[in-house]
Amino acid sequence: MEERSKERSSSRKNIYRISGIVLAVLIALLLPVICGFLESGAYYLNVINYIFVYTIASTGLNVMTGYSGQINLGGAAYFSVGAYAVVILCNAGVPTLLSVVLAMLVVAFFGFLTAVPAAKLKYHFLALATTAVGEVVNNLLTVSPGGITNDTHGMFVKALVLFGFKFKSDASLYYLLLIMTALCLLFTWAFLHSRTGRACVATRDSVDAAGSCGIDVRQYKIIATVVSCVMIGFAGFLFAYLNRYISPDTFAAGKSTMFMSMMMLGGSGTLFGPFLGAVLITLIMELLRGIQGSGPYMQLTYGFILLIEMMFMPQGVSGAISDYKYKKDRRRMEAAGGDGKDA
Amino acid sequence: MNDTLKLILQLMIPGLCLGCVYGLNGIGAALLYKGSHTINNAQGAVVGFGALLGYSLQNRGLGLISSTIIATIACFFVGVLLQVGVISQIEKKAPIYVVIATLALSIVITNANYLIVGSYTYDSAVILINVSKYLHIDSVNVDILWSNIVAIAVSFIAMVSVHFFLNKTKFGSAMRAAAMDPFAAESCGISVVKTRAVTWGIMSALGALGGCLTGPLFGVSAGIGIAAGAKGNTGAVLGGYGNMYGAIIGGMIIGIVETIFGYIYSPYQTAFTNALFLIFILLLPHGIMNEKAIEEG
Amino acid sequence: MLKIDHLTLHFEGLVATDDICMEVEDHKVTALIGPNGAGKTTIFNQIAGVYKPDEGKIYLDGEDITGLRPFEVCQKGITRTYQVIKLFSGMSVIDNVLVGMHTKLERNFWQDVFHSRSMRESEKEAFKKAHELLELVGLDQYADHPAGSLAYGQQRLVEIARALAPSPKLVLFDEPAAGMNLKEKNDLNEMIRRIIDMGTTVLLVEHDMSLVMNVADIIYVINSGQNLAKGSPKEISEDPAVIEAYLGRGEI
Repeated sequence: MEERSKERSSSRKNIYRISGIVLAVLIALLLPVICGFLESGAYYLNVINYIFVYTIASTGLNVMTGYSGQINLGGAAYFSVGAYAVVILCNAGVPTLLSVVLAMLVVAFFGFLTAVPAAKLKYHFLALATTAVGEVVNNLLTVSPGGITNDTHGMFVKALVLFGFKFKSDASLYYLLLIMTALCLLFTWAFLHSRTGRACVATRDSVDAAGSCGIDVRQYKIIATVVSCVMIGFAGFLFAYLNRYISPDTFAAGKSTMFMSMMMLGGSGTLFGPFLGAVLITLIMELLRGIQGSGPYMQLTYGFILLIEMMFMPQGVSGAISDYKYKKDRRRMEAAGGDGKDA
Repeated sequence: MNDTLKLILQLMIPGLCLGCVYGLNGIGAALLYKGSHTINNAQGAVVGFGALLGYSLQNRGLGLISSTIIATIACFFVGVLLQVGVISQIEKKAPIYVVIATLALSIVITNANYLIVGSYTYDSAVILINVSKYLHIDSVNVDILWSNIVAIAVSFIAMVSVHFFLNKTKFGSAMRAAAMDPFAAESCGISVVKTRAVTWGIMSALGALGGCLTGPLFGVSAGIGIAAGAKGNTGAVLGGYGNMYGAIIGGMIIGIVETIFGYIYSPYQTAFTNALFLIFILLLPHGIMNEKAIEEG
Repeated sequence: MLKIDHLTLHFEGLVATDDICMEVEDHKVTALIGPNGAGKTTIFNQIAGVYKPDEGKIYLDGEDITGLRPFEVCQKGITRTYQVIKLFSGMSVIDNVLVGMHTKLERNFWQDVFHSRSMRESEKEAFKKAHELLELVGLDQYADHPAGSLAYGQQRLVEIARALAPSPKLVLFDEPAAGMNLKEKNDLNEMIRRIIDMGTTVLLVEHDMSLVMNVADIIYVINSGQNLAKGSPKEISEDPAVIEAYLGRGEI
């Protein structure tokens, strides 16, 4: 009797879950249309597009920092290299798709260069070193010889043209970014559920034990870093064509900190954590921007939120949710009795 | 030939002055790492805060010396408060989060600085030793700013004081013991909570001192300390991370090298200093004093 | 299977292992016992590649594996557990075992990351084997739990399952019974026997004498970094030199 009611409730849960997913997908597909009816719809759509880009960047960062234990405070470096590489190539006449591929190779190479020495640094010093890399790249971009990056005056970016279609409107970009974000999340999931991904996570949890399982820790740290960098660089490319303007200022250390905090607030080491973090932080910043305007007040509040989060919930929102869910499961299991833990 | 020598001498003193400030920050970094195996990313922000505090005290009529002293002492307590209130909470959970938490702290303090001051640079209005007063050395025909000399001298006094404090006082020995082995120290009756608090206090005080000393030289602004804090770490790595004396020497070297390079090739100065840092941390992680803190990860 | 010749290691003036000679025979349980600090774990660490010996050689089936790095030693077919448990606490129990299988799941990087058909089939096989191993140690119901959430004794068992995952030639157990209660120790005894039946040779370091006497085929006694005695459990328990070294321990 009890069994049947349990079955009924679990199948009811399944129905809720499936209908929830269907509803979410529908909303996601129709969002630009919905925004068209809203008063500030254009603004919302624009913000959502940025959320997508930042999600990809934070998810990329998560692969090396959250999942592989390689902290990186210089993420903006890869973000900017990705952006500039694509824009420069496209402006030079290289077809878009090829530009992207080549640019990602450049980012991958750059990531590899930084990953090799980084693999032997321990946590705190890796943090300092990655910050230094970020600073070096930013400085070089700002002062680049021959005006490659047009100095602090920045460059305007022509609209993205892919397969003959011009991505000029927020709505068109929305669909592109939606697909890209979904693909990135899917890729991250696939990566983590592969032998390679598991090896990377193992290096985070116990370097010694990973070695005794046959994992060349240094190799896998490098793999994780390069994969991460390419994802962040890819986000940079998308950013360039969303923002339609890039300058060394847009890629200053603040971006690195932002990716980091999105990942931490949402929950490092979780799949949807960075997405949650991107949503939360972007919303918070836009709210603050509306109330107090850009500048110190906004930054102060944002730093304060991060600080509080580090103090009380360092595992992030997603981490806290899964902790809570796990504790609930544990309690239920123990209540049901006989889980065999008592000797 | 004489001209280049003169130029180098001319640059060395300001470089040394900057280097002393970096050294002060480096001492803090070394002490913190030895004691708690963490890194404080908010040091630079505290340097700025101290400088602003000193400046606003001067504006209220206190002399340069008293405002510096008060600002330094005040920041000592700020450091203590930070450790007790904020950092200890995080250390309890996982020490590695301190790196990110201090980053957040740095944002908070720096922007608080901006709010108090606005983003312009203020020149220290009231100064005991006139900024434009030079010391002229006839033999080499070189002019040295008095402020630089004062800054160097005061920094040295501070460094020597820290050395004496750590080595010749009871509490200093307690701090060294707690750094070596917190558990053993606790069982000897040493309060690690107190030693950690004092470590943060000293670190912040030294940073503020550096900020106040360079105020008359560069003008006071909200972001003044950020680079200095980071370079404190650079100097510490150069000297061997965790080694206080190495941090001092390393900081001074960085200051001098950076100033000379900055004169030659100023736009790339940031990249240069950071590149130096990277070179040292990757190729010579044990630094000058051969301190084995940074090991294979 | 494993031959250790004149293994010597110094730690800044202190001699950790001094001219140690040992042989581990195929399909037998060899135990390494001795007082605390005698150098047993140091021997393990030299076999496993954590330390490089100053003198001496280690041979696996005739092949010189001295000084290989830990991950290379694993690739040669030797796995280990640790005295202080080193689990991948952020991963699930079954993922821990799957990581153990790393060396046996050789795949092309791109096929692996993009989940090609061959990868998915390989994963299915791997999961099957991982579940079997978890059943062997009695923890299959915890397969999807985070490894860090298990009780201490259970975490030890996960480590054992992980060490067995790549079907190694030789597995090194470093004090597997530490922190276990009587029932768990009896289960461990049986488990070790089953491991031998599965074709893996066992070398263990252990303090619990009753377990050692029950399960070991050959015992080596180490004292102060040097060989003290070698023999069957019966011979060792009657050896006067061994009894003297253990005077005051009284667990025989």
